[in-house]
Amino acid sequence: MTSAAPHAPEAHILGVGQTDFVPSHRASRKTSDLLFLAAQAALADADLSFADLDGLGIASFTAAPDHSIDLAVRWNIRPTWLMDSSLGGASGNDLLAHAKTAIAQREASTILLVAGDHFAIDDFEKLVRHYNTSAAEDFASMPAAGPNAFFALITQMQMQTLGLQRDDYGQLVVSQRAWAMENPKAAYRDPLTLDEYLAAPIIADPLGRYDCVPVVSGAVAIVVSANQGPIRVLAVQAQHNWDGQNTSGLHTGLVEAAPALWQATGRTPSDLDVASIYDDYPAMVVAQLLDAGILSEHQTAASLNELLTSKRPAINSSGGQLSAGQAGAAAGLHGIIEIANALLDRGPLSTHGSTLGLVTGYGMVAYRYGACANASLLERT
Amino acid sequence: MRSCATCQWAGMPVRKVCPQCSGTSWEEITEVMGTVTAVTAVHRAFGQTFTPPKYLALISFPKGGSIVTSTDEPLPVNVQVTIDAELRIQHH
Repeated sequence: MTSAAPHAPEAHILGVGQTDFVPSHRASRKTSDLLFLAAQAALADADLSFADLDGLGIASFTAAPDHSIDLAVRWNIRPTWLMDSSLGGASGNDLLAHAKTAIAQREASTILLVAGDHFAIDDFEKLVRHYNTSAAEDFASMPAAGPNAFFALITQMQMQTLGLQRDDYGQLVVSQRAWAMENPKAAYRDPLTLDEYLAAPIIADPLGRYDCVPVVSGAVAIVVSANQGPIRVLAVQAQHNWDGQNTSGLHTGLVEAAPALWQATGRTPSDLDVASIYDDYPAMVVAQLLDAGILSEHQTAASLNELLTSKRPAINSSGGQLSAGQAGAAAGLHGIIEIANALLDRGPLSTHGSTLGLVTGYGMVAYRYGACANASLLERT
Repeated sequence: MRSCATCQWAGMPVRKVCPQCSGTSWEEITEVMGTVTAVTAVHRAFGQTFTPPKYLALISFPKGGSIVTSTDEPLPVNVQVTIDAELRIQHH
Protein backbone atom coordinates (compact mmCIF):
# COMPACT_ATOMS: atom_id res chain seq x y z
CA MET A 1 0.00 0.00 0.00
CA THR A 2 1.35 3.39 -0.89
CA SER A 3 -0.92 5.66 1.10
CA ALA A 4 0.92 8.61 2.57
CA ALA A 5 1.86 8.91 6.21
CA PRO A 6 0.02 11.64 8.20
CA HIS A 7 0.95 15.13 6.99
CA ALA A 8 3.10 13.67 4.23
CA PRO A 9 2.74 15.46 0.89
CA GLU A 10 0.00 14.08 -1.32
CA ALA A 11 0.60 13.22 -4.97
CA HIS A 12 -1.28 15.15 -7.64
CA ILE A 13 -1.28 14.89 -11.40
CA LEU A 14 -0.45 18.31 -12.84
CA GLY A 15 -0.32 17.52 -16.53
CA VAL A 16 -0.68 14.78 -19.13
CA GLY A 17 0.64 14.38 -22.66
CA GLN A 18 0.69 11.85 -25.43
CA THR A 19 1.65 11.39 -29.03
CA ASP A 20 -0.71 10.12 -31.66
CA PHE A 21 -0.97 6.34 -31.61
CA VAL A 22 -0.03 5.08 -35.07
CA PRO A 23 -0.19 1.50 -36.40
CA SER A 24 3.38 0.25 -36.23
CA HIS A 25 3.68 -0.52 -39.94
CA ARG A 26 2.92 3.15 -40.71
CA ALA A 27 5.00 4.67 -37.89
CA SER A 28 8.35 6.31 -38.48
CA ARG A 29 9.36 8.02 -35.23
CA LYS A 30 11.97 6.34 -33.04
CA THR A 31 11.18 5.42 -29.45
CA SER A 32 13.48 8.13 -28.11
CA ASP A 33 11.62 10.77 -30.14
CA LEU A 34 8.20 9.48 -29.06
CA LEU A 35 9.16 9.56 -25.38
CA PHE A 36 10.49 13.09 -25.74
CA LEU A 37 7.38 14.35 -27.53
CA ALA A 38 5.08 12.89 -24.85
CA ALA A 39 7.30 14.34 -22.10
CA GLN A 40 7.23 17.79 -23.71
CA ALA A 41 3.44 17.66 -24.03
CA ALA A 42 2.94 16.68 -20.38
CA LEU A 43 5.30 19.40 -19.16
CA ALA A 44 3.59 22.02 -21.32
CA ASP A 45 0.25 20.89 -19.91
CA ALA A 46 1.62 21.37 -16.39
CA ASP A 47 3.23 24.69 -17.35
CA LEU A 48 6.63 23.32 -16.33
CA SER A 49 9.97 22.69 -18.00
CA PHE A 50 12.52 19.88 -17.80
CA ALA A 51 14.55 22.04 -15.40
CA ASP A 52 11.69 21.93 -12.88
CA LEU A 53 11.86 18.14 -12.52
CA ASP A 54 13.61 16.28 -9.74
CA GLY A 55 12.21 12.85 -10.57
CA LEU A 56 11.94 10.69 -13.70
CA GLY A 57 10.40 7.27 -14.27
CA ILE A 58 10.20 5.42 -17.56
CA ALA A 59 8.75 2.22 -19.00
CA SER A 60 9.72 1.08 -22.47
CA PHE A 61 10.62 -2.17 -24.15
CA THR A 62 12.52 -0.52 -27.00
CA ALA A 63 14.35 2.33 -25.29
CA ALA A 64 17.12 -0.18 -24.59
CA PRO A 65 20.00 0.06 -24.18
CA ASP A 66 19.03 3.38 -22.63
CA HIS A 67 17.49 3.67 -19.17
CA SER A 68 16.01 6.50 -17.15
CA ILE A 69 19.43 7.95 -16.36
CA ASP A 70 20.27 8.14 -20.06
CA LEU A 71 17.06 10.08 -20.70
CA ALA A 72 17.82 12.31 -17.71
CA VAL A 73 21.15 13.20 -19.30
CA ARG A 74 19.69 13.79 -22.76
CA TRP A 75 16.81 15.83 -21.35
CA ASN A 76 19.01 17.74 -18.87
CA ILE A 77 17.16 16.61 -15.74
CA ARG A 78 18.99 16.51 -12.37
CA PRO A 79 16.86 13.95 -10.51
CA THR A 80 16.97 12.86 -6.88
CA TRP A 81 14.65 10.02 -7.84
CA LEU A 82 14.87 7.67 -10.84
CA MET A 83 12.93 4.56 -11.77
CA ASP A 84 12.72 2.06 -14.60
CA SER A 85 9.63 -0.13 -14.53
CA SER A 86 9.67 -3.42 -16.41
CA LEU A 87 6.14 -4.54 -15.55
CA GLY A 88 4.61 -4.09 -19.01
CA GLY A 89 0.87 -3.58 -18.68
CA ALA A 90 1.26 -2.97 -14.96
CA SER A 91 4.11 -0.46 -15.38
CA GLY A 92 1.94 2.68 -15.33
CA ASN A 93 0.47 2.04 -11.92
CA ASP A 94 3.85 0.68 -10.81
CA LEU A 95 5.51 3.98 -11.68
CA LEU A 96 2.66 5.95 -10.12
CA ALA A 97 2.78 3.96 -6.88
CA HIS A 98 6.49 4.56 -6.45
CA ALA A 99 6.22 8.21 -7.44
CA LYS A 100 3.48 8.67 -4.86
CA THR A 101 5.69 7.13 -2.20
CA ALA A 102 8.67 9.22 -3.29
CA ILE A 103 6.59 12.38 -2.91
CA ALA A 104 5.26 11.29 0.47
CA GLN A 105 8.81 10.57 1.62
CA ARG A 106 10.02 13.89 0.17
CA GLU A 107 12.52 12.10 -2.06
CA ALA A 108 11.27 14.20 -4.98
CA SER A 109 8.58 16.80 -5.52
CA THR A 110 8.04 17.01 -9.28
CA ILE A 111 8.23 13.74 -11.20
CA LEU A 112 7.81 12.99 -14.87
CA LEU A 113 6.54 9.49 -15.75
CA VAL A 114 6.83 8.55 -19.40
CA ALA A 115 6.22 5.33 -21.30
CA GLY A 116 6.12 4.29 -24.91
CA ASP A 117 7.53 2.26 -27.75
CA HIS A 118 8.03 2.10 -31.45
CA PHE A 119 8.12 -1.44 -32.76
CA ALA A 120 9.54 -2.29 -36.12
CA ILE A 121 8.17 -5.68 -37.23
CA ASP A 122 11.31 -7.49 -36.10
CA ASP A 123 11.26 -5.71 -32.72
CA PHE A 124 7.84 -7.02 -31.76
CA GLU A 125 8.59 -10.55 -32.91
CA LYS A 126 11.77 -10.54 -30.81
CA LEU A 127 9.88 -9.20 -27.82
CA VAL A 128 7.28 -11.97 -28.04
CA ARG A 129 9.85 -14.72 -28.56
CA HIS A 130 12.20 -13.55 -25.82
CA TYR A 131 9.69 -12.09 -23.38
CA ASN A 132 10.96 -14.34 -20.60
CA THR A 133 12.46 -17.78 -20.10
CA SER A 134 9.16 -19.54 -20.77
CA ALA A 135 8.70 -17.78 -24.08
CA ALA A 136 12.32 -18.40 -25.09
CA GLU A 137 12.47 -22.03 -24.02
CA ASP A 138 9.08 -23.63 -23.30
CA PHE A 139 7.34 -22.32 -26.39
CA ALA A 140 10.26 -21.86 -28.78
CA SER A 141 9.41 -24.98 -30.76
CA MET A 142 5.62 -24.84 -30.41
CA PRO A 143 4.03 -23.46 -33.56
CA ALA A 144 1.39 -20.80 -32.99
CA ALA A 145 1.99 -20.43 -29.26
CA GLY A 146 1.88 -16.84 -28.05
CA PRO A 147 -0.34 -14.31 -26.32
CA ASN A 148 -3.27 -14.62 -28.74
CA ALA A 149 -3.38 -18.40 -28.31
CA PHE A 150 -2.98 -18.23 -24.53
CA PHE A 151 -5.80 -15.74 -24.12
CA ALA A 152 -7.94 -17.72 -26.54
CA LEU A 153 -7.67 -20.58 -24.02
CA ILE A 154 -8.57 -18.22 -21.16
CA THR A 155 -11.53 -16.91 -23.16
CA GLN A 156 -12.76 -20.45 -23.87
CA MET A 157 -12.73 -21.21 -20.15
CA GLN A 158 -14.41 -17.93 -19.25
CA MET A 159 -17.18 -18.50 -21.79
CA GLN A 160 -17.80 -21.92 -20.31
CA THR A 161 -17.68 -20.69 -16.71
CA LEU A 162 -19.78 -17.55 -17.07
CA GLY A 163 -22.03 -18.55 -19.96
CA LEU A 164 -20.74 -15.77 -22.21
CA GLN A 165 -21.01 -15.78 -26.00
CA ARG A 166 -18.93 -14.04 -28.67
CA ASP A 167 -21.68 -11.43 -28.93
CA ASP A 168 -21.04 -10.40 -25.34
CA TYR A 169 -17.37 -9.72 -25.98
CA GLY A 170 -18.38 -8.07 -29.25
CA GLN A 171 -20.58 -5.57 -27.46
CA LEU A 172 -17.61 -4.53 -25.35
CA VAL A 173 -15.34 -4.17 -28.39
CA VAL A 174 -17.95 -2.22 -30.36
CA SER A 175 -18.59 0.02 -27.35
CA GLN A 176 -14.89 0.81 -27.08
CA ARG A 177 -14.67 1.58 -30.79
CA ALA A 178 -17.49 4.10 -30.31
CA TRP A 179 -15.44 5.76 -27.58
CA ALA A 180 -12.34 5.75 -29.83
CA MET A 181 -14.25 7.69 -32.47
CA GLU A 182 -14.18 10.60 -30.00
CA ASN A 183 -10.43 10.25 -29.36
CA PRO A 184 -8.38 11.96 -32.08
CA LYS A 185 -5.20 10.21 -30.91
CA ALA A 186 -6.62 6.68 -31.22
CA ALA A 187 -5.16 4.52 -33.97
CA TYR A 188 -8.47 2.93 -35.02
CA ARG A 189 -11.49 5.25 -35.22
CA ASP A 190 -13.64 3.84 -38.02
CA PRO A 191 -17.14 2.78 -36.94
CA LEU A 192 -17.43 -0.90 -36.05
CA THR A 193 -20.65 -2.90 -35.90
CA LEU A 194 -21.33 -6.13 -34.06
CA ASP A 195 -21.82 -7.89 -37.40
CA GLU A 196 -18.40 -6.71 -38.58
CA TYR A 197 -16.88 -7.87 -35.30
CA LEU A 198 -18.41 -11.32 -35.66
CA ALA A 199 -17.44 -11.61 -39.34
CA ALA A 200 -13.77 -10.71 -38.80
CA PRO A 201 -11.18 -13.44 -39.43
CA ILE A 202 -10.57 -15.81 -36.53
CA ILE A 203 -7.05 -15.49 -35.13
CA ALA A 204 -7.20 -18.17 -32.42
CA ASP A 205 -10.63 -19.62 -31.78
CA PRO A 206 -12.72 -17.92 -30.34
CA LEU A 207 -10.69 -14.72 -30.73
CA GLY A 208 -11.24 -12.74 -33.88
CA ARG A 209 -9.21 -9.87 -35.24
CA TYR A 210 -10.96 -7.25 -33.09
CA ASP A 211 -10.38 -9.22 -29.86
CA CYS A 212 -6.59 -9.01 -30.23
CA VAL A 213 -4.98 -5.78 -29.14
CA PRO A 214 -3.34 -4.01 -32.10
CA VAL A 215 0.33 -3.06 -31.83
CA VAL A 216 0.94 0.65 -32.38
CA SER A 217 3.72 3.16 -31.89
CA GLY A 218 3.29 5.98 -29.41
CA ALA A 219 4.12 7.38 -26.01
CA VAL A 220 2.33 8.92 -23.03
CA ALA A 221 3.51 10.93 -20.04
CA ILE A 222 2.23 12.48 -16.84
CA VAL A 223 3.64 14.95 -14.32
CA VAL A 224 3.13 13.95 -10.69
CA SER A 225 3.76 16.59 -8.05
CA ALA A 226 3.64 17.38 -4.36
CA ASN A 227 1.98 20.65 -5.34
CA GLN A 228 -1.77 20.95 -5.43
CA GLY A 229 -3.16 19.97 -8.82
CA PRO A 230 -6.43 19.15 -10.53
CA ILE A 231 -6.20 15.39 -9.84
CA ARG A 232 -5.34 13.70 -6.57
CA VAL A 233 -3.82 10.22 -6.55
CA LEU A 234 -5.92 8.68 -3.80
CA ALA A 235 -4.24 5.30 -3.62
CA VAL A 236 -2.42 2.65 -5.62
CA GLN A 237 -2.58 -1.02 -4.73
CA ALA A 238 -0.72 -3.96 -6.28
CA GLN A 239 -0.89 -7.72 -5.95
CA HIS A 240 1.55 -9.60 -8.13
CA ASN A 241 1.76 -13.39 -8.52
CA TRP A 242 -1.30 -13.57 -6.27
CA ASP A 243 -2.02 -17.21 -7.14
CA GLY A 244 1.52 -18.50 -7.67
CA GLN A 245 0.52 -18.93 -11.33
CA ASN A 246 -1.26 -22.02 -10.12
CA THR A 247 -4.91 -21.37 -11.01
CA SER A 248 -7.01 -21.17 -14.14
CA GLY A 249 -6.07 -17.55 -14.81
CA LEU A 250 -9.72 -16.52 -14.83
CA HIS A 251 -9.04 -14.09 -11.99
CA THR A 252 -6.26 -11.55 -11.58
CA GLY A 253 -4.41 -10.12 -8.58
CA LEU A 254 -7.08 -7.43 -8.60
CA VAL A 255 -9.31 -9.88 -6.75
CA GLU A 256 -7.13 -9.13 -3.71
CA ALA A 257 -5.89 -5.63 -4.59
CA ALA A 258 -9.28 -4.06 -5.29
CA PRO A 259 -10.88 -4.75 -1.87
CA ALA A 260 -7.78 -3.23 -0.25
CA LEU A 261 -8.10 -0.20 -2.52
CA TRP A 262 -11.76 0.33 -1.62
CA GLN A 263 -11.04 -0.13 2.07
CA ALA A 264 -8.07 2.26 2.07
CA THR A 265 -10.00 5.04 0.36
CA GLY A 266 -13.51 4.57 1.73
CA ARG A 267 -14.81 4.49 -1.85
CA THR A 268 -16.81 1.73 -3.52
CA PRO A 269 -17.27 0.58 -7.12
CA SER A 270 -20.62 2.38 -7.24
CA ASP A 271 -18.80 5.69 -6.66
CA LEU A 272 -16.91 5.38 -9.96
CA ASP A 273 -17.71 7.68 -12.87
CA VAL A 274 -15.04 6.27 -15.20
CA ALA A 275 -12.87 3.16 -15.24
CA SER A 276 -9.94 2.20 -17.43
CA ILE A 277 -9.74 -1.57 -17.37
CA TYR A 278 -6.60 -3.05 -18.91
CA ASP A 279 -7.80 -4.47 -22.21
CA ASP A 280 -5.28 -6.61 -24.00
CA TYR A 281 -8.21 -9.00 -24.61
CA PRO A 282 -11.94 -8.58 -23.88
CA ALA A 283 -11.94 -11.60 -21.56
CA MET A 284 -9.45 -9.86 -19.30
CA VAL A 285 -11.69 -6.80 -19.12
CA VAL A 286 -14.51 -9.05 -17.95
CA ALA A 287 -12.19 -10.77 -15.46
CA GLN A 288 -11.02 -7.48 -13.96
CA LEU A 289 -14.53 -5.98 -13.86
CA LEU A 290 -15.51 -9.01 -11.79
CA ASP A 291 -12.40 -8.83 -9.62
CA ALA A 292 -12.89 -5.10 -8.98
CA GLY A 293 -16.50 -5.63 -7.92
CA ILE A 294 -17.92 -3.63 -10.84
CA LEU A 295 -19.59 -6.68 -12.41
CA SER A 296 -21.32 -9.59 -10.74
CA GLU A 297 -20.68 -13.24 -11.64
CA HIS A 298 -24.43 -13.72 -11.37
CA GLN A 299 -25.86 -13.24 -14.87
CA THR A 300 -22.61 -11.78 -16.14
CA ALA A 301 -23.81 -11.30 -19.71
CA ALA A 302 -26.83 -9.25 -18.65
CA SER A 303 -24.74 -7.37 -16.12
CA LEU A 304 -22.13 -6.51 -18.77
CA ASN A 305 -24.80 -5.34 -21.19
CA GLU A 306 -26.34 -3.12 -18.53
CA LEU A 307 -22.92 -1.67 -17.67
CA LEU A 308 -22.08 -0.85 -21.29
CA THR A 309 -25.51 0.66 -21.87
CA SER A 310 -25.62 2.75 -18.71
CA LYS A 311 -21.98 3.86 -19.04
CA ARG A 312 -21.92 4.06 -15.27
CA PRO A 313 -19.02 3.86 -14.90
CA ALA A 314 -17.84 4.60 -18.44
CA ILE A 315 -15.47 1.78 -19.39
CA ASN A 316 -12.33 2.51 -21.44
CA SER A 317 -13.58 5.88 -22.66
CA SER A 318 -10.50 6.54 -24.82
CA GLY A 319 -11.36 3.48 -26.87
CA GLY A 320 -9.06 1.40 -24.72
CA GLN A 321 -6.12 -0.37 -26.22
CA LEU A 322 -8.38 -2.50 -28.38
CA SER A 323 -9.16 0.58 -30.49
CA ALA A 324 -6.65 3.26 -29.44
CA GLY A 325 -3.86 0.70 -29.74
CA GLN A 326 -1.20 -0.83 -27.52
CA ALA A 327 2.00 1.19 -27.73
CA GLY A 328 4.19 -1.33 -25.93
CA ALA A 329 4.94 -0.26 -22.38
CA ALA A 330 2.75 2.82 -22.88
CA ALA A 331 -0.08 0.36 -22.34
CA GLY A 332 0.54 0.62 -18.62
CA LEU A 333 0.25 4.40 -18.53
CA HIS A 334 -2.45 4.71 -21.18
CA GLY A 335 -5.26 4.15 -18.67
CA ILE A 336 -3.98 6.89 -16.36
CA ILE A 337 -4.04 9.35 -19.27
CA GLU A 338 -7.55 8.23 -20.17
CA ILE A 339 -8.90 8.75 -16.66
CA ALA A 340 -7.00 12.01 -16.20
CA ASN A 341 -8.56 13.33 -19.40
CA ALA A 342 -12.02 12.38 -18.13
CA LEU A 343 -11.41 14.08 -14.78
CA LEU A 344 -10.13 17.19 -16.60
CA ASP A 345 -13.23 17.29 -18.84
CA ARG A 346 -11.08 16.58 -21.89
CA GLY A 347 -12.55 13.20 -22.71
CA PRO A 348 -15.81 12.42 -24.51
CA LEU A 349 -18.59 14.82 -23.60
CA SER A 350 -20.53 12.21 -21.67
CA THR A 351 -17.60 11.76 -19.27
CA HIS A 352 -17.39 15.47 -18.41
CA GLY A 353 -18.04 16.15 -14.76
CA SER A 354 -16.47 12.86 -13.68
CA THR A 355 -14.93 13.03 -10.22
CA LEU A 356 -13.63 9.52 -9.50
CA GLY A 357 -11.81 7.09 -11.78
CA LEU A 358 -10.23 3.66 -11.51
CA VAL A 359 -7.20 2.54 -13.52
CA THR A 360 -6.23 -1.12 -13.59
CA GLY A 361 -2.97 -2.61 -14.81
CA TYR A 362 -2.39 -6.21 -15.81
CA GLY A 363 0.39 -8.00 -17.57
CA MET A 364 3.65 -9.88 -17.72
CA VAL A 365 2.61 -13.30 -19.01
CA ALA A 366 4.84 -15.55 -16.93
CA TYR A 367 3.66 -18.67 -18.73
CA ARG A 368 0.12 -18.44 -20.12
CA TYR A 369 -1.49 -15.52 -18.27
CA GLY A 370 -0.48 -12.30 -16.56
CA ALA A 371 1.33 -12.40 -13.24
CA CYS A 372 1.11 -8.69 -12.43
CA ALA A 373 -1.92 -6.67 -11.35
CA ASN A 374 -2.42 -3.26 -9.80
CA ALA A 375 -4.94 -0.48 -9.61
CA SER A 376 -5.10 3.20 -8.79
CA LEU A 377 -7.91 5.53 -7.80
CA LEU A 378 -7.77 9.09 -9.12
CA GLU A 379 -10.02 11.90 -7.92
CA ARG A 380 -10.78 15.39 -9.19
CA THR A 381 -9.79 17.91 -6.55
CA MET B 1 8.60 -33.10 -16.71
CA ARG B 2 9.30 -32.80 -13.00
CA SER B 3 7.14 -32.97 -9.93
CA CYS B 4 7.62 -31.72 -6.39
CA ALA B 5 9.27 -34.44 -4.31
CA THR B 6 7.17 -33.43 -1.31
CA CYS B 7 3.64 -32.89 -2.62
CA GLN B 8 3.87 -34.18 -6.22
CA TRP B 9 2.75 -30.85 -7.74
CA ALA B 10 3.55 -30.71 -11.44
CA GLY B 11 3.17 -27.97 -14.00
CA MET B 12 4.74 -25.16 -15.94
CA PRO B 13 6.67 -22.94 -15.89
CA VAL B 14 9.56 -24.81 -14.30
CA ARG B 15 9.98 -23.74 -10.67
CA LYS B 16 12.69 -23.77 -8.08
CA VAL B 17 10.18 -23.47 -5.23
CA CYS B 18 6.91 -25.42 -5.30
CA PRO B 19 3.90 -23.04 -5.50
CA GLN B 20 1.86 -25.42 -3.37
CA CYS B 21 4.11 -26.53 -0.51
CA SER B 22 7.25 -24.38 -0.96
CA GLY B 23 9.36 -27.51 -1.30
CA THR B 24 12.63 -27.21 -3.18
CA SER B 25 13.29 -30.84 -4.13
CA TRP B 26 12.14 -32.05 -7.53
CA GLU B 27 12.15 -35.41 -9.28
CA GLU B 28 11.84 -36.41 -12.90
CA ILE B 29 8.58 -38.14 -13.80
CA THR B 30 7.83 -40.27 -16.81
CA GLU B 31 4.19 -39.35 -17.12
CA VAL B 32 1.45 -37.33 -15.49
CA MET B 33 -2.34 -37.51 -15.79
CA GLY B 34 -4.40 -34.42 -16.46
CA THR B 35 -7.63 -33.06 -17.86
CA VAL B 36 -8.07 -31.14 -21.09
CA THR B 37 -9.44 -27.81 -19.83
CA ALA B 38 -9.51 -25.74 -23.03
CA VAL B 39 -8.46 -26.01 -26.66
CA THR B 40 -7.93 -23.54 -29.46
CA ALA B 41 -7.29 -23.68 -33.17
CA VAL B 42 -4.76 -21.03 -34.12
CA HIS B 43 -5.02 -19.57 -37.62
CA ARG B 44 -2.52 -16.74 -37.41
CA ALA B 45 0.33 -15.83 -35.09
CA PHE B 46 2.46 -12.72 -35.20
CA GLY B 47 5.75 -13.25 -36.97
CA GLN B 48 5.17 -16.96 -37.54
CA THR B 49 4.55 -18.85 -40.74
CA PHE B 50 2.68 -22.15 -40.55
CA THR B 51 -0.10 -24.05 -42.23
CA PRO B 52 -3.25 -23.35 -40.22
CA PRO B 53 -4.88 -24.44 -38.13
CA LYS B 54 -2.51 -25.40 -35.36
CA TYR B 55 -4.11 -26.85 -32.25
CA LEU B 56 -3.12 -26.02 -28.70
CA ALA B 57 -4.56 -27.55 -25.55
CA LEU B 58 -4.46 -26.52 -21.92
CA ILE B 59 -3.98 -29.56 -19.70
CA SER B 60 -4.72 -29.09 -16.00
CA PHE B 61 -3.27 -31.35 -13.33
CA PRO B 62 -4.96 -32.45 -10.09
CA LYS B 63 -2.65 -30.41 -7.85
CA GLY B 64 -3.43 -27.15 -9.66
CA GLY B 65 -0.57 -26.95 -12.15
CA SER B 66 -1.07 -26.89 -15.88
CA ILE B 67 0.69 -27.05 -19.21
CA VAL B 68 0.01 -25.78 -22.71
CA THR B 69 0.94 -28.17 -25.48
CA SER B 70 0.36 -28.58 -29.19
CA THR B 71 -1.71 -31.44 -30.57
CA ASP B 72 -2.12 -32.90 -34.04
CA GLU B 73 -5.90 -32.92 -33.77
CA PRO B 74 -8.32 -30.87 -31.66
CA LEU B 75 -8.85 -32.66 -28.36
CA PRO B 76 -12.29 -32.79 -26.74
CA VAL B 77 -12.58 -30.74 -23.56
CA ASN B 78 -12.93 -32.37 -20.13
CA VAL B 79 -11.33 -35.71 -21.14
CA GLN B 80 -8.52 -37.36 -19.19
CA VAL B 81 -5.11 -37.62 -20.84
CA THR B 82 -1.63 -38.75 -19.91
CA ILE B 83 1.42 -36.67 -20.80
CA ASP B 84 4.78 -38.35 -21.07
CA ALA B 85 8.23 -36.91 -20.44
CA GLU B 86 8.43 -35.62 -24.03
CA LEU B 87 5.05 -33.88 -23.61
CA ARG B 88 3.32 -36.39 -25.90
CA ILE B 89 -0.34 -36.87 -25.10
CA GLN B 90 -2.11 -40.19 -24.74
CA HIS B 91 -5.86 -39.92 -24.99
CA HIS B 92 -7.67 -42.29 -22.56
